[in-house]
Amino acid sequence: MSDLQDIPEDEALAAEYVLRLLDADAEQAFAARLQTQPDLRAHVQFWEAELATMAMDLPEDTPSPSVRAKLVAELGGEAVRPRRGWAWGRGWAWNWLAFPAMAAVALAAFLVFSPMLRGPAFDPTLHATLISQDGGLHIEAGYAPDGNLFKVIPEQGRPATGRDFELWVIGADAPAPVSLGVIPADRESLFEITPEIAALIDGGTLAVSDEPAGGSPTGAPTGAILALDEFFDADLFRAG
Amino acid sequence: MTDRKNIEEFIGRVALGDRAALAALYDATSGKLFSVCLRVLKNRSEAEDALQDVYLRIWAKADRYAVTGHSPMTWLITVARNLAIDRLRAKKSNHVDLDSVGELVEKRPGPEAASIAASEQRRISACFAELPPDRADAVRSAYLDGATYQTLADRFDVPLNTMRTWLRRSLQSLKECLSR
Repeated sequence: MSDLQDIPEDEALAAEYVLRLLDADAEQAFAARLQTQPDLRAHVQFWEAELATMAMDLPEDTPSPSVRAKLVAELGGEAVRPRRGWAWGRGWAWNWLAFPAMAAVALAAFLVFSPMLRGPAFDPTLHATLISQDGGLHIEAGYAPDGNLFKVIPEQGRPATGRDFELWVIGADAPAPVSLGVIPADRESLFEITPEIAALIDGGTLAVSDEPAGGSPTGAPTGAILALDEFFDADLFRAG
Repeated sequence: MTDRKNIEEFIGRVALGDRAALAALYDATSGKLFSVCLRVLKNRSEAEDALQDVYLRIWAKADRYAVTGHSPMTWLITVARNLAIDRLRAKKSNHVDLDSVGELVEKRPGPEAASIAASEQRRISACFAELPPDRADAVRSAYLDGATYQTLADRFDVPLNTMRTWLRRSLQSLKECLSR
């Protein structure tokens, strides 16, 4: 092509490769050559480094806190899964392949603790299982749309002296966590939540944070997030 | 303020499987990487999905960072941009709405102009200033918006081969300038 005379072909290709201007076939062919040709890699590295300075000048923007919450939940699931392998049920194998790791962990815990969530007057459809990374804190929670009831069962772990546990709901598209309030760590609690908060639960994430006695003074978590879990629908897992 | 050394240390710890280090890296860099994704995808919710993938990829690939020879921010930005462009192209594989792309690009001159002004001392800005303004815009749009040759040709209303020639000559000029 006549327009190639100004710049060596490989240099031009490297720049186009970095800019993502090559079509799929050309991109693949160039990527294959990169594996074996150090001089091409040097061209690519040059353009990646120079052009990235344009992105460094972009003004920062703030993503929704739910991104961080989901990320932490996902990685938490990856770490916890092997330890909980024993709890995996027999006929459930097909489900494990279809659901994310955290759902698997939550289900394992749910199978063990679900009887406690099923009082006669409380029929939860969505659940969350909060287990801290070190396993020292474990809280079960369930939500029943009939009456907007929310139940919390502290299974293990107490706040430090002068501190309280506070629960938060992070809606899938919500800009910030919404407080469910401070929870007693020594007994079950059952309370009604507002329709606004209830609307965040399906698809949302439950979190527990360590706060000053009486709860966060700011309306947002101020202490460490101790555990998170996405709400999951128990019916999805029920056999038959 | 988190500096380059902190970020490099975070990446090193992430490579060892340290989840707290990934959270720290997220806190230090997500604002920038989100803006990279948002600039390409033009949609907050899609950019947030992409951002989560970006950090999962960083989690999986952190052990490869050292061999790239890049500064930490260059590596992170490159990962984020490539992933955002992958998503953009997957979304558009069956339907390319060129008009809306051009419109979105043209509606957002402010922050870019401001950020370019803020980095006058950087070599690449000085070199961009040596290019004809429309060609500099085309290179910026290819990088920041993930624009294709076809999109750029339509936007600047020139034949595709002409756009390719523009881009290649502009890159040649940039390279000469940057190597001076």
